[in-house]
Amino acid sequence: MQAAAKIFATILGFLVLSRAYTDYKAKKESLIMMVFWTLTWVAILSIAYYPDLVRRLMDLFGGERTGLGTVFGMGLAFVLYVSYRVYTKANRIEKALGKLARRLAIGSAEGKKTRSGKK
Amino acid sequence: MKLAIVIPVFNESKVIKTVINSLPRRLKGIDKISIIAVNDGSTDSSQKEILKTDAVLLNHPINLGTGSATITGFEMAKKLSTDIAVSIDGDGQHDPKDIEKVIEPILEQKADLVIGSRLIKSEGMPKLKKAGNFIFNFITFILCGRWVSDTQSGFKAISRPLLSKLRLDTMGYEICSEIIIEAAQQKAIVKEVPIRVIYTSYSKSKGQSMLNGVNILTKLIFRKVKI
Repeated sequence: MQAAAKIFATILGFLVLSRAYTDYKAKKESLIMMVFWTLTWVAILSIAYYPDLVRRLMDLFGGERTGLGTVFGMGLAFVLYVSYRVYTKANRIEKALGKLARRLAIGSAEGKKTRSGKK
Repeated sequence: MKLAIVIPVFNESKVIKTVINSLPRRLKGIDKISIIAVNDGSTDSSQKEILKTDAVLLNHPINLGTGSATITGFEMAKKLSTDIAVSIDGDGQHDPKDIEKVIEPILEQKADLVIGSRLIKSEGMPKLKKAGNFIFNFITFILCGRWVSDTQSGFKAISRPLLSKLRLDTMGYEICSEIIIEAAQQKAIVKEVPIRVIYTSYSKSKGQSMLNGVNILTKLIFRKVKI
């Protein structure tokens, strides 16, 4: 089971990191985003290969008192933050697309009107 | 007085020509009527059907949603210097005769925004739709403090002064609530008039699903907190 988790994490990690790097090289993403995804996936892969790290991490934050709930809570908060960022970015892109489509639609209609000599 | 009738169109090739041709060309108190059909990236022959009519055709290169198409139509109405802009659905569910009713309070300077309410006389409306509308009305009330019986009606008339003040930027069906919220913020006079709804199997198959409510709620909340 652990071997399957390692393989799964490695494949996903490879896909995400190669994409992050190619996006950065193509100037589609910033250096900060590339570093962010690299660090995130290095952390995920580290846990996949060395599951004991989770226990050590828990010890570091107060041993059994911290509990798995806290770790999952933090994970959930992180996922929600990422969802929020994705949602706001998608929203901005959607609005920009709307403005562009509007400008094209009205510009084209006005152009036709001018060409046909109507006022 | 100039009137613009704005119709957002998405895949309505079966009915759009009939809808446009059934719209009035003369109305009491109105000197000029412009019909603006906004083809919102339809994948059927809606564009061809619109071209067979006398409507001004605006084309969105991709489908962006009924809200976006309505805003495009309103922007064109502003460019045409219209005094009143009316929005109606492209699926034929609205009776063109009701246009006179929705513009009347604006012509009499008794309202800035008039909503054609399907719920003042709600005979024939499916119960599920009524329940869904009530939820949207309540959400809109929470967000702007105005109770409107049919916030999700696509049949509306807006006066020129209000139209120039509205800051609309939603993309989908949430535009219906957004117009009311914006009008409330502008302290505009909002009135409702009863309208007749033509329920056919075609028009019943159109419109928004109840599940879209979650999407609308999220977008309205995000809009409220200016994200």
